[in-house]
Amino acid sequence: MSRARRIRDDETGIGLVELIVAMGILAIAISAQLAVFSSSYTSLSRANMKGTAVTVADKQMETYRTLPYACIYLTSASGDSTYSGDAAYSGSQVTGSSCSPSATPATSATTASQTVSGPDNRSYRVDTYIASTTPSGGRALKNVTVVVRDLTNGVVGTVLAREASTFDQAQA
Amino acid sequence: MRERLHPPSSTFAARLRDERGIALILALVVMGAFSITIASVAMFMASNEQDATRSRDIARALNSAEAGLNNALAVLTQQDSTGTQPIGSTLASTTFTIDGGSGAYSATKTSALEWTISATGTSPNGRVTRKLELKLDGTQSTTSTQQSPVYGYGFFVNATSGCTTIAGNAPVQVSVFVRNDLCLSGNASITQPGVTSNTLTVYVGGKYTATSNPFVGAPSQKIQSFTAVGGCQRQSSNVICSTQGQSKVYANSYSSTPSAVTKPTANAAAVYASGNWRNPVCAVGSFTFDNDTTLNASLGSVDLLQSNGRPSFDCTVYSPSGTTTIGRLAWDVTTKVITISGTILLDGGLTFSGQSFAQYTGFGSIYANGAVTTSGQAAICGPPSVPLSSSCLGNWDPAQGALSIVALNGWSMSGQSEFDVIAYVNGAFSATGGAVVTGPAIADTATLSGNGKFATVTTVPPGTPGAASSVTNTTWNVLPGSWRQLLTS
Repeated sequence: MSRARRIRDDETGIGLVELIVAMGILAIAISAQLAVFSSSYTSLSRANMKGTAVTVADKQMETYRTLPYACIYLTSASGDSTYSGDAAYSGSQVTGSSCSPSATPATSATTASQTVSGPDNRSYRVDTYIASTTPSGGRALKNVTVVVRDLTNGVVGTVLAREASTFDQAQA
Repeated sequence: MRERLHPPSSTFAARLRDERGIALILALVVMGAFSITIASVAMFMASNEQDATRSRDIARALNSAEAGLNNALAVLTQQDSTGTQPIGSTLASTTFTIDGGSGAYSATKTSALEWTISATGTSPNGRVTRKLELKLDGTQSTTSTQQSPVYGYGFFVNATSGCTTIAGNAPVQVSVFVRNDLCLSGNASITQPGVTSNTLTVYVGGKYTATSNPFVGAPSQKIQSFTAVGGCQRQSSNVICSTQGQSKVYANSYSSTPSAVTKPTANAAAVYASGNWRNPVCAVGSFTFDNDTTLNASLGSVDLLQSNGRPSFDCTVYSPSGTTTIGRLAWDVTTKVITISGTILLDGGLTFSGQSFAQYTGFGSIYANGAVTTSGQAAICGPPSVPLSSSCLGNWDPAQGALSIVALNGWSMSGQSEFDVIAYVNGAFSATGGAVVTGPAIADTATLSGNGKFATVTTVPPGTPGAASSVTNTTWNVLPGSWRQLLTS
């Protein structure tokens, strides 16, 4: 038997080579999967936050639906640059300190900017804007805009949810 | 070299036993499994993301639709504030935008006091649309106001200073209210009409002063009550009012208690705002109530009858929306009859020049944004009396027809004339010579030197300041339980 043929037929160490190749392929696959898992976790977390933010925004908006028209106001319309930088901000927001009949709105309804804890135990920043608007041929309405922002680690992040609606006296 | 352990006859079994390449196969299988897992996770992730985004879009679309409902509420409560729009009326579809979203609303009146509103809202990315419906329910309440007590006096002077003088020879035979001083001179008197007694009331918020030979009431026909808050003076001497021999005031009761009666306010701006005076609708001829769109006395002075030469007209003024009749004024030059109903406003004064004779029918009031003047011979006769030269033949019966003339800047009568009207005056009322108003005269100041001839009116016509009124208010509220979400097509 020639040396060449002997070398060709000699399978000594092939298993190790196969194992190394297989481990390499697996390593690549596992790396890719880890990357996908990581990305998925981030994305799912984000989607979860968006869903929670919508819930928080809904809750805030529903608060106003339970209030008499006269009680829809902010105690102070000022805020930081994030608050005043939003498109919903106007210099002439509806402010007040009391309303009749004797209903006192909850503090959360009259606070322009506040931090709330969502059902996922994360922190969210809820900014509320109330402005007066009058549709053509109608009487004055209150236009309420609720903006929920990410507040992870106390850092104001992006807008997760925003809702806007108008309120008429007949609705109260 | 490896040796074959099995005979060549079992090739397949031998291949199975041959483990060469098995690790690669296993790796591929495991990688495939990993790939499936990764794909599943990726799909789950994408689905979750889409779900969160859609939830957000749904919330924004719903809130936009809610905004549409509220916009419609704001419009309807203004446009149908009185609840008088007919059933079947519609609010045309109106689009709007809110915080990046958009929507539209419309409404239909489904019953006398109910509107059905529908509104759609679309998310800012246009992917989600929601449609909502709501019913707006109206409730009506009626507020009634009684007629001002000033019309219980035939002659009411609201001056807070000076002395209101009555100097004519003919007796004033009607209840009198003077907020400040009252001065009677010469042969002036305030007496019970006919054979009556104990019906008239005389109130003087200041001092009653009698000079020469005037008297109030008579020993045989006493008036009901006499009030002089500031006391009485006769021939420059203070006297006790109730001492009839000294004061010549014959009444069944005396008082010095101030009265709380006030002159009602003529709200000309509200009357002007209530009608489209620039554009009356005339069935016959034409008449100008205003020549611009501002209450500014732009007509100067209007000669209503033009010495009975004015061509016939029959004009009606409606509210600015055109749905409510505010007043009607007509003149028939052939029959010499004025027809009045509701409230009429002239953006200028009112004159009766030369010889103006007419009878009127109906119940109503005319606001003159200026002075009312007459200097010639005029007779404006209330039914059933008819004109006869410068007076009226027969007695006016206010129950058959009554006209109030509201002069917003004084009233001056001279010459020979008779007006069977209720005279409400902002400013001075002056009647001299043979000019008389047969109805009540309510003024800020007054000068009477002619033949005073006033009378009280039980019910003043609509539109008169202080007239009894009944106002129906409509309050619109959302009908509980009527909110619902509809399927979007």
